[in-house]
Amino acid sequence: MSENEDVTMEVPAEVERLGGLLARAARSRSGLIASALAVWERANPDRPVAALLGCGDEALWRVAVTPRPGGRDMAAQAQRIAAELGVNVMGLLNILRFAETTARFETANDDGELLMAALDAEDDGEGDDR
Amino acid sequence: MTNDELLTLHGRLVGGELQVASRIVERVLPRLVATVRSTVPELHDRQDAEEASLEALLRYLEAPQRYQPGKAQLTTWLAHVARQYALNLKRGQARRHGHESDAAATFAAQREVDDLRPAEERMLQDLEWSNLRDRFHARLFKDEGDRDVFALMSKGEVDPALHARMLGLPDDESGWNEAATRVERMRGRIRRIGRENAS
Repeated sequence: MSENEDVTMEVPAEVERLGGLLARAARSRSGLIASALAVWERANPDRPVAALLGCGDEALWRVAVTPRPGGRDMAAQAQRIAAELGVNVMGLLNILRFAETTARFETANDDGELLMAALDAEDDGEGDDR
Repeated sequence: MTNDELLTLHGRLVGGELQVASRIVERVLPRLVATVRSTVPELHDRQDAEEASLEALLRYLEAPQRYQPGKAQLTTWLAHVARQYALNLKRGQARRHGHESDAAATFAAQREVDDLRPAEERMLQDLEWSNLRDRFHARLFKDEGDRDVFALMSKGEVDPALHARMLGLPDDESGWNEAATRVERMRGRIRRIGRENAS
């Protein structure tokens, strides 16, 4: 046994339980993917994120506590996250884009920015997921 | 998971590899909760310790670059953040529990925070024990039950009867003697490590 060997003694069930709690607490944190999942669930109660991501609770909390990618790197980051955590990349990308677009709408005023936001979202949508 | 490996994951996260975040959570969260739970026992319930730990970890995940690796280990830093949050939580609890005036609440809250100072010292001691365990576990843990002995010793428990029960030994003189031997053996290992590192 080397000195640098693993010394963690966590019970997996406890990790999963605490991870679930962390994911729930993260829903109000705009910097984490959990906030995007929350936005999606509020707007689409009939389309659960787990089904969209094609995953179970174990992967779901891990996605939720991941920092939320944005901007130009969003698609590439989403692919890496999906690959690492074994979730559907298109589902994740849809959720992230939906949340980003919703945020744009919420902050837009009525001087034409609403339309601009809608057009931006449309442009973004034509790039990576088709 | 060693501290070096944890530090590597932190570096990757700060470098933009967002996908490693949950691996850091897996490694530190249960340990963080246990540390906060054992070092701020005055918190009203176990959920408070978990809440403080979750808050510390969320703050880290939102801005991992705030952690400066040169100053402390990640778990140490997180434990301090969690403790600060726990103290604030405690102040709030003091105000909510039966105080008729704000002045009385403030006074009581301050007194309770003062009472927690020994807990802070315990936390630092606990973290030192954690460092010892992390760095020298191969030399400390050779027999079954050694981790339990070490864990009890790290909490200041040297009562042979308590160790005997933890080790599943008979709760009588023979068990206590055996437990005392195990504690003394662990002390010897720690002393040797201490001497070697001092020289």
